[in-house]
Amino acid sequence: MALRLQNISKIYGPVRALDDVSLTVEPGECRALYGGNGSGKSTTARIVSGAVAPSGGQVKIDGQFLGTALPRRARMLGIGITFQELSLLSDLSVAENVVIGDAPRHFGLFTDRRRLYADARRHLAEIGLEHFCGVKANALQTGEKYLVELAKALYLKPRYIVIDELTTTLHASEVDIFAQLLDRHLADGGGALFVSHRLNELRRFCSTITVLHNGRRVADERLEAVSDADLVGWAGGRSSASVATANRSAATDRPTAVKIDNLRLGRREASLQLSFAAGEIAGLGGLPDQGQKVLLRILAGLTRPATEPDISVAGKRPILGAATDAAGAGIVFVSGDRDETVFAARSIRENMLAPFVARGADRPNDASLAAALSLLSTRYAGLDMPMSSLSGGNQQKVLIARCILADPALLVAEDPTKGIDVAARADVHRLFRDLAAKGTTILVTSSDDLELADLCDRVLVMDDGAVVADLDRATGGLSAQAIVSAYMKQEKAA
Amino acid sequence: MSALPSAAPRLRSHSAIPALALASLGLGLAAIINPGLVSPAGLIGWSTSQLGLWAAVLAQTVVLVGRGIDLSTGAAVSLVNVVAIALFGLGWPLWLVLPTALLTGTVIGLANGLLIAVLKINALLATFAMSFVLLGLSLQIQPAPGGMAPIGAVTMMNGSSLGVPNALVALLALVALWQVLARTRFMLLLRGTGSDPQRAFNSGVPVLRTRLCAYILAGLFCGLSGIFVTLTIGAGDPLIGQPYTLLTIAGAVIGGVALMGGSGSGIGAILGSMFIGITGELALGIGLSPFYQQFIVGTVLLCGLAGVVLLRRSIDRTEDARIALTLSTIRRGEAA
Repeated sequence: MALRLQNISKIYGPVRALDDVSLTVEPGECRALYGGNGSGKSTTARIVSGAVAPSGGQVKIDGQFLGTALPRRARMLGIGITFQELSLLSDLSVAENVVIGDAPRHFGLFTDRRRLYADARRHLAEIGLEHFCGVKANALQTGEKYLVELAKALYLKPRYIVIDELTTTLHASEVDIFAQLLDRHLADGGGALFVSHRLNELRRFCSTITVLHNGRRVADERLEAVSDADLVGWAGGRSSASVATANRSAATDRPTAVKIDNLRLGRREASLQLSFAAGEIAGLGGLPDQGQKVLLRILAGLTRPATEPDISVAGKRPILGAATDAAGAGIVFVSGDRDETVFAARSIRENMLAPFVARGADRPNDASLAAALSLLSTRYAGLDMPMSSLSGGNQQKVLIARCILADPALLVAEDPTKGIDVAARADVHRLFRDLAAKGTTILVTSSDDLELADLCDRVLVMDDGAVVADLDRATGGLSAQAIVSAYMKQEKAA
Repeated sequence: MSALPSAAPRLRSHSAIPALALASLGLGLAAIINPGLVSPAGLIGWSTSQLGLWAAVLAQTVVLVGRGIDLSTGAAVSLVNVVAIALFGLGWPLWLVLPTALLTGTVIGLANGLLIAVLKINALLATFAMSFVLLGLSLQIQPAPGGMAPIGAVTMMNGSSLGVPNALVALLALVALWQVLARTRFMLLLRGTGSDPQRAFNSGVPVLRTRLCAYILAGLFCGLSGIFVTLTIGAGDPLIGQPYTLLTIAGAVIGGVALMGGSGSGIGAILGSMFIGITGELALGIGLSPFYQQFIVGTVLLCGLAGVVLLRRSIDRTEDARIALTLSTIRRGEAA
């Protein structure tokens, strides 16, 4: 009685994504699946869920072979999965989404709406979202979507759940909810395969670990027997991937590059007045969706503000709500939603050149594209390969790499290291610092407060459209602890 | 927190409201310009001329909701029409012709479904090609308009009961049929499939089967439409359904059915096609030369579309704001 992957391999065109990978998850066990971008973690998760057929090898669930790749069959055999890119259907209500795999019916033919909503409500109550039953899934915030994805995976009471990078996008309080559900699942004799980049979470939830590198299994250990340094070393093939916090000079003596005045976010009466220096890396922290995203998107020209604020970037005044004009003013945007910016079927080259083509600017040549990609150690077969041939993490690297080609005055990035591994995160941070050293102002959000504290010169903590704390590294006031306590204080006051 | 309604905020689709407004407005205008339209005879005339379209638009709606499209709707209706007339010509009784006509439509739908769901041929191309196959068959069976349906059945279809045109009774039956369909598990799976086929597949939705069923069901509605056409005009015409293809797509979209799949109601689609039908009546009522008529119909249609788009946008915006507000109230409630 166990979930067994036996000698699984998967070949995508010229790329061997998985090569003879075996692992076992026993009832009551939570096994970590750890590795760098493109190491084959997500492919493994998809194969277990039946969404993808392996090129070789077998998946055995409590003695029964999965056989044909059919998510429905995997579900019937007792597999639940949360997809990294979500499986929520935006036109359906939250409740319908939770039960879609096996909606309650009348006479076999009709949806039993009353029971559907009652069942979903009961399920959603466990993640504290029972009042969201009737809303369409796309009205939810990102963290809520991932919790609903979890509720959906647990709906059919699976024997084994596969958690693919779920917690990366969750807030600390949401991670606690996840922890409770996971504990109960394990206590009930279920098993779990937990895919994550975050070592502290692996240690918190898992007892055993399988490490993948370039599609091969490089370690299979009890987690308590190995050190973080071992794990990072195995996963990256690199010895020192730990994030070095650079000591950068304070940005106070630099000229102001970005000025925002008279900006009102949401239902706020008071307006924001912010300024950022050239070469400053500023983070926007706080609970999710407190105006950080809106602020970034207003700067990127994607959202029109309700009132007319004064915004100037390096002396230019971009037309608000016009993304092309923002780009012309030297503002570059990295979306937190990869689906929104990736042309999946088009080549890596076209994806990197898209912003230049859109503006009619001179296009960088292949050599500079390749150089930008290598700065982030992006794994790709060639610039002509479609974006869809890359793993999620590598797609993200392409999107970030293209930013440096534009030599931007202002870079606005939504959670740029979401879903990428430790080593890659260090690369992205280094790239941001190099850009800043050349005078680019960088505004960034992150679901990880530690990352903000590591990366930024200054962190503005936001709450309901207002800045409630301005933490500066130069004055020594910047730490993850300070960020957390700034927004937690707001929480209590509310 | 207890003040919040249990299923709040409710998921009520308002997608049909603009079409309802438009259809009422059009009908009102038409009645003013041409008061004869609302007379008993006028109502019968109008509803019988539209009944076939109302059934056909449901075929298109089912397919569109599943993120497909059907360019063979019109040709399928024509084929069912000439098949029925040919069978009447052979002396088949009504009770045998009607199921055969329905079956004809269903088989066409099955063929479309196999091409699209199983062989994974692009829906646009498959149904486009299918429309010529069906047109060819119809012309083979009956090259020119003619033939006769049983006079009793035709009289009944063009009659009225208790002052209500029978075609409107049939419309009510169509609406009821849609309401039943909307409550099926199939429709839930179809909306899921149309919303995002890959995610639906990953969620355990039998995407292939659902798509196949959508086309079969569309074929069934085409069969129904063909029967209505046959019984309202009482004759066969290999080109009768031709305009239905684009009329049903336009009607469904005016009625709030998403071209990209995932949402839409048959009721809205019927209202949308009603509006399109009424624009024709408006032009007729004014009594202009046929050349101007086309121009007027087109202009009214354009204005109506613009109105629908604007109205829908404002409804969506207030609705989104309302949901966002409710959600943030709930979130604050939980945080406290």
